[in-house]
Parts: sequence; structure tokens; C-alpha cells
Amino acid sequence: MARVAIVDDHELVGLAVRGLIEPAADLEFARHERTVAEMVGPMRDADLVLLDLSLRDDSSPHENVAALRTWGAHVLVLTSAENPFLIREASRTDALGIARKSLPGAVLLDAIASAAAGEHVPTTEWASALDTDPTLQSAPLTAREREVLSLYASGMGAREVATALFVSENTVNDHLRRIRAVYHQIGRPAATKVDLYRRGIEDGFVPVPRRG
Amino acid sequence: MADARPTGRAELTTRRTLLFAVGASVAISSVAALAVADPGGRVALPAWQPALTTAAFAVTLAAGLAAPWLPARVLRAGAGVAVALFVSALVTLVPASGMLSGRPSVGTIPWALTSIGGITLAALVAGGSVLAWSVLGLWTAVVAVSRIALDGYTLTGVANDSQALLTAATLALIGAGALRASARLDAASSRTEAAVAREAAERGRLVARARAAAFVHDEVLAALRGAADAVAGSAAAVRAQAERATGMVRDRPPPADWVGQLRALAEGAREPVAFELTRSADGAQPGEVVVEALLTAAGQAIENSLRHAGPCRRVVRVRVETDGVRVEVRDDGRGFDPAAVRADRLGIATSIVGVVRETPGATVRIDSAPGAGTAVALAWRAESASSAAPARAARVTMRVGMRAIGALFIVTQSIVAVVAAVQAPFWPTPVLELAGLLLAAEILRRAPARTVTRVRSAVVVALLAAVAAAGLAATPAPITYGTAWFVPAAGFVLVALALRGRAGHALAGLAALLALLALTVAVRDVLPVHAVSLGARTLTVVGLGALLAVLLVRLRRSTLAQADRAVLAARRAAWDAAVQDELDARAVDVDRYARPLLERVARGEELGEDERAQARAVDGRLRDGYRAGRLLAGAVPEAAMAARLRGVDVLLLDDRGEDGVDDPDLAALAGWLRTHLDAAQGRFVGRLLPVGREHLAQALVDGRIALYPAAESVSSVQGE
Repeated sequence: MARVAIVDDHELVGLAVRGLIEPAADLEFARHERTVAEMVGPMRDADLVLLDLSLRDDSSPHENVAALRTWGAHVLVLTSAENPFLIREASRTDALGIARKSLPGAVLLDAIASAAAGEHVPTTEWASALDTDPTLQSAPLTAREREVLSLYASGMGAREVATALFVSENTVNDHLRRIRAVYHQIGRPAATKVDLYRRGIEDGFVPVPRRG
Repeated sequence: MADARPTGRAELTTRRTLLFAVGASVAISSVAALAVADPGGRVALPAWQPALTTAAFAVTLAAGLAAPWLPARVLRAGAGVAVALFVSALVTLVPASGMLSGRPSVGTIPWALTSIGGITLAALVAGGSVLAWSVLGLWTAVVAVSRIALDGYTLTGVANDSQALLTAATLALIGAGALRASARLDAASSRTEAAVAREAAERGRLVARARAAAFVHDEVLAALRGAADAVAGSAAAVRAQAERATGMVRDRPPPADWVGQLRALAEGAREPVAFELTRSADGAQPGEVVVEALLTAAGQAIENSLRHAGPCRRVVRVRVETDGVRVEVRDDGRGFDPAAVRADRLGIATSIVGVVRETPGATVRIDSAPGAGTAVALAWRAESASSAAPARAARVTMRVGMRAIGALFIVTQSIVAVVAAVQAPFWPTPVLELAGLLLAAEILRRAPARTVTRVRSAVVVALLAAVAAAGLAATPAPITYGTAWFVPAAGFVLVALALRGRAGHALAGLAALLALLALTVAVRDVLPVHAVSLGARTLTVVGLGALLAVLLVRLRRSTLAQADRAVLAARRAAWDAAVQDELDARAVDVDRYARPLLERVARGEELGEDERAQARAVDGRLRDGYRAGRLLAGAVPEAAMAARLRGVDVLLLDDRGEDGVDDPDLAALAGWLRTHLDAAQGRFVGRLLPVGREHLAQALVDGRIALYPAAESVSSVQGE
């Protein structure tokens, strides 16, 4: 029985997640807190913490995930609607995955169950944010890995990617895990002047303008 | 002579450097004049006449040495006094020497009076190019007349005068170029600084606004999801969340930028006025003055139409383009004859035409005819696009000037060589010297790049040194300025080398020439006054020429750097403007889609199944604001909404990044996406692919992948 807690600004989100988890057989709802500081008490009472990507206390996903990992819990990041920069920032942390709050209930529950078991949870948004990250262009990824990432970013699941590439689902998951590891290693790139400016939008609040 | 424009920092530095150079040149001349006792054969002059020249030099020297600390006005005044003294010495030479009385005392004119280079630069500092060239012209005339009237032209006279003229012309040309470049740099700096400051302030406001908007969005999304899920026992929390969200939306009406103000102007008119906006992403951002003018003029144009055009259709069209903006106010009403507008119709006369004409970069055109409607077209062009043009024009001026001086060099030095050949015991020697100099100049001229390669530069320097060495060895004693004319002449080629980016090599060449002169003085018979004159002239022309050339190159480089900064600032400002638009669009979306629904929830109304589906669809629509980007074109937003209402989980991702997509492509893509969206039953992911992929976009429809544009070589991948 895995214990699941959530850190989110909104009471409503806590209620919704609780409503989702309580009927599940092998999951148990632990707590809902508004900040990570309130979550990490002296006793660890959760195995998995669902973490809101942009909390209002000016904390960064990086610090929050680090604090929760130190506490001993796995982390799954939840997003409502954020730009890819913030998702990339979260992808560089030790979180198991990034899922959007508006996913259909069953899909979100699957993701929570996988994360509670300590498994990597790749999602379309995660893959899309990485697939478009210019810093990944020069990363040591094989052509096959890039292909997997691209297909995954297009919305396919591991099984669908496996079918499309005539490989096993396990192989696809291995590729995804390695992509995640490589992405962790490259870290944040040294910024050129223009990048430095664009980083302004990486705090996740300033939107990326629509073109054309 | 001083113009009204204040002197900028770079320009002041340039003027100081120029005057310092003048001081240095005068110091060299003075040392030359003092080191050597005045030789015989000078024309007899009253004592006050040379005193004028001496005073001119003393003032120049004092001003030049103090230049680094003098303010702009004193610099100019000092240079002006020196020039005035020198000019009076020059003008009084004619009566003082007795030329007018018909009893001229025969002899050469004082050497100091022929040292015109420094004074020309001083004239440049005091009164600009016009004064410099005027002084030089006057000097040429007086000296030529005096030479002829007093003792005719000697070889030394021809060589000295022609080279003094060349020195002055070269220094004046480079100095004027440096002054122009520094004035441009000052203008560019102040423009850039203003732009950067504006951009930074704007950016701070933008980030604050974006942050606030993100929180509003977050609250709205949470409320929408709560309403859609309607989890048992959450009714009170959903209502509280909806109340908070609607409160925040009410508190933050979409703010108006200048386009927004224009839109408000059109939409708030007494009668309907349509508003059309076309905006490119990197659109220009007009400054406050321009915005003010455009708003005033457009408002007046709308008012005129409402008052005079009668019942008709009216439209305000705004186009924001990369290099400017256009605002058109058009109606199909009564119209009028623009030529017959009475003076009392002040609306058009002052507000529209007047306001716009006073605004830099702005233009206005009024097209109207009785019965044919009226169109007022306002346009503003961004300056940055044209700021490179004057720099280029100045460079052309410089090149034309250098060519003229090159031609003057060839003509005068050929004459000197011919005169020298006629007088020389072995005539081919001066001809060969001339050929060597012209060869070096030609090698330099043929260099393809603006900056000459090291090798070519070294060849030029070596050739010049060889010509000087061979020439000095072959010239019979006693060596005079006239017979050693080729040494200063080689100096001019070195100046050209400095202008082509090899100032160091030019100075090395100068050292070689001076060393050769010193060696010759040591081992052979050279008239001392001639040796000093030769050295002084060569030192002046190469030393100052190289100094000013380096100054010019630096100024140009700084100007380019400023232009780069300005372009960067403009690009950021454009990006920020696009972000503002994005925020506006989102605020409008929230207002249009989410607010009505949330207000009902906040009032405590129970939502039906259909309305909960609608809340889910609106949640998706608002999320699209972050990630769908260019995919939200044509019929896609409606088709996505319809699919979401059917219960399809729709995800739209614009992953293309910075690179644009052509409008026709986008329109076709939107049609294609819509077809697939309409077919989706459970899950749909539409994605604009990153640059460099084989396709522009792809769609995942219930597990099936479709690619756009469909290519025969790529078969679509079947999922399940």
C-alpha cells in the first residue's frame, strides 16, 4: 500500500486528487499541504508526493524536488498549463515524471501508481519539452533514442512506439530512461546573450509569443 | 561657426585628439625651424610678419598641449585664433614682401609658412571641413603666386609645396572623417541608450504582469477543473474557487497598449467603426512620441469621418510590420476634394497632417474625392533600418576623397620627378624612384580586403624602404629636400597603408625612413635645413596620418557595436510587444470563455453534464494559450473546442520554436488539423514539429499517426 501526498496551492486540487486516489486498491491518500516546507515534517508519512509545478511561494521546482527527495519520497510533478521552459526545468530534477492535472482520471491514476512504485513516468509533454530543447541537439543520444523521443513527443505511448519501431515495449522504456539520464547530465547550458534574455521567459510566467 | 548641436562625448574626444595632433605637428615644425639657422636666400620681410606666424604656432601648440583638459568651446576658440593668425600672416605676405609695389625682394618664402598641415587640422577643429578646405585653398593660391613672383619655382619649392598640400589634404580628409564618425557614434549612443532604458523598463512591467496573469490563469484553471470533475463533497470548495477566480478576472481587465488604445478609439466611436489588425511577430515598436502622434491623427481622422462622411462603413486598419507601422482610417462616405479644403477645416490641416509631419519618420497621405470616400493613411518607419545608410554614405565620401588625393599625389609627384629628372646628372634615377613608389601604391590599391593582409603590407613597406635606400644612395651630394623628394612621398603610401588597417606596419615604415635619413646625414653631405625638413614632413604625415586612421577605425567599430546593441534592444522590445499581445489574447480568452461559466458556479448554480463538459473544454482552450502557439489558426480553435465537448482529450503543441511558418502553409495546415480533429474519438495530439524534421506537423488521432504534408516516401505509421 503506497501512501500518496500532494503539495498544491489549491484546496480543490487536493480534493480532486484525494477523490481519485481513495477508491484505488493499492494507493492511500496521506496529506494535502500548500508548501513543501509544510510537507516535510519530522516523520515521513508519504511514499510519493505529487508536486505542483508552480507554487506561489516563489520556490523553484528544483529546490522543491530536492527537499522532497531528501525527505525520502518519490516525486511526480503536476502541471496545469506551463510553458516548456518550466517543464524542462522540472525535467532536470530528480522527479519521476511530469503529468498534467487535466489528464483523464484513469490516465492520471496510472501515472500516480507507476510513480508510487518508483518507476519513471514519461509523458507527452515531457517528451515534447525535451525534444524541442536545443541543448539536447548536441547530447550523446543515438539516432534510435531520438526517434523514440520524437514519437513519444507526438503523443504515442510506449506500446505504440514499440509497435511502430518493431521493438519490445521494454526496449522503448529503456530508451526513455536513458534519455532522462542523459538530460539530467547535460544540465543547464552556459547562456549566450540572447539566451540570457530568453531565459526571462523560463521562469514560466512570461508566455512564448505566438507567431504568424 | 559653432553649430547649435551640443558636442557629444566621442566628438569631443575626437576634437581633442585632432588638436593634440595639431600641437604635435606644430612642435615638429617649430623644432625644425629652431634647430636649423635660417639659411640665406630668404625673402626680406618686416619683423611683424614672421611674428604673426610664430604667434599662430604658439597658440596652436598651447591649445594642442592643453587639449585633453579643454571644454569643446575653448578648443574651438583656441583653434580659431591660431587659424586667424596664420591666415593673416598668409594674406599679409603679399604686401609685406613688396610684391604689390613692384619692388619685390627676391628670395624663398619662410619654411614655417609652408607648414600648412597642422593649421588645416586646426581649421577643421574650429570650423569644420568648409573652413579647412578654404584655408588650404587660400594657402595654395598665395604660396603659388608668391613663389612665382619672388624667385620662381625651384625643385625644392615644387617638392615641398606639393607635399605640404598633400599632407594637409590627407590629414583634413581623415580628420573630417573621424569627426563625422564620432558625431554618428554620439547620435547612435544616445539613441541606443534611450532604447535600452525604455526596453528594460518595459520588460520589468511585462514580467510583473505575466506573473500576475499566470496566477489568475492558475486560479481559473483550478476552478474549471473542479467544476468539470464535480468530485463528491467538493461543491463548497468549487464554489469558493470560482468566486476567487472570477474576482481576480474582474480585478484585471485587459490593459491597452497603443494598438489597444487605437482599438478602443475605433470601438468607442459614436457610430460603428470596424477594427482590423495585422501584426508580425517581430513588429516594430513605435516610441511614445510616435504613438501620441498616431493616436491623435487617427482619432482626428475618425472624428472627421463621423462628422463629414455621412452614413457609411468605416474601418481602422492597423499593420505592424518589421520596419514600421501603418494605420489607415477609411470610409466609403461622401468624400471631399483635398485640394479644396478650406483653411477653417482645422481637423485635417493641423491635427492630422501637422502632427504627423512634426513626428520623425512619420508620413501621412489623404486620398479622397467627392462621392468616393476618404482614406487617411498614416505610416511610421523605424529609424534603425536606415541608420546604416549614412555610415555607408560617409564611407563612400571618404573613398572618393582618398581617390582624389591619390590622383593629386600621382600628378604632383610625377611633376616633381620630372623636374628632378631634368636637373639630375643621371635622369632615370628620379623616374625609377617614382616608378617604385607608384608600384607600392598599386600593390596596396589592389588588395581585395578592407584590411590588407600582413604579407602584402610587409611587401609594401619593404618596397618603400628599398626605394628610399636606393634613392638616397643614388642621389648626388649635396642632398636637398628637392632631390630627396621621394622620402616624404613614400610617407603618403604609408598613410594609405594605415588607413587600410595596418597602422603598426606604417609606423615601422616611418621608423625605417627616418633611420635611412639619419644614416644618410651621418655619412653623406646633406644640407642640415633640408634634412630636418625632410624628417619633419615625413614624421608629420605618417605619424599623424596613422594616429587619425586608428582613431577613425575605432570610431567606426564603436558605431557598429552601438548599432548591434540597438538592433538587439529593438528585437527584445519587439518580442516583448508580441508577449504583451499574447497576454492580451489570454485575458480575452478567460473573459470570453471562462468567466460566464465561473460566475454561474460562484453564484452557487449546479452545472449539468453538458456544462461540465464545457468547463473541461474551456480548461483545454486556456491551456492551448500556453502551448498551441501557431496551431491556433483558422478553424482549429473551434474544431478543438468541439472535440473537447465530445470528450476527446486534445493536446496541441507548437514545437517549432523561433522559425516562422508561411501564412499559406499555416492555413493549409489548419484545414488538415481540423479534418483530423473532427475525426477524433478519444485522444488527439497535434504537433507542429521542430525545425529540421522531415515534416511540418503531425497528428496522433486515437493512436494513428498522420503526417503533414503527406509524402509518398513516408507511409503513415500504424499504432495499434
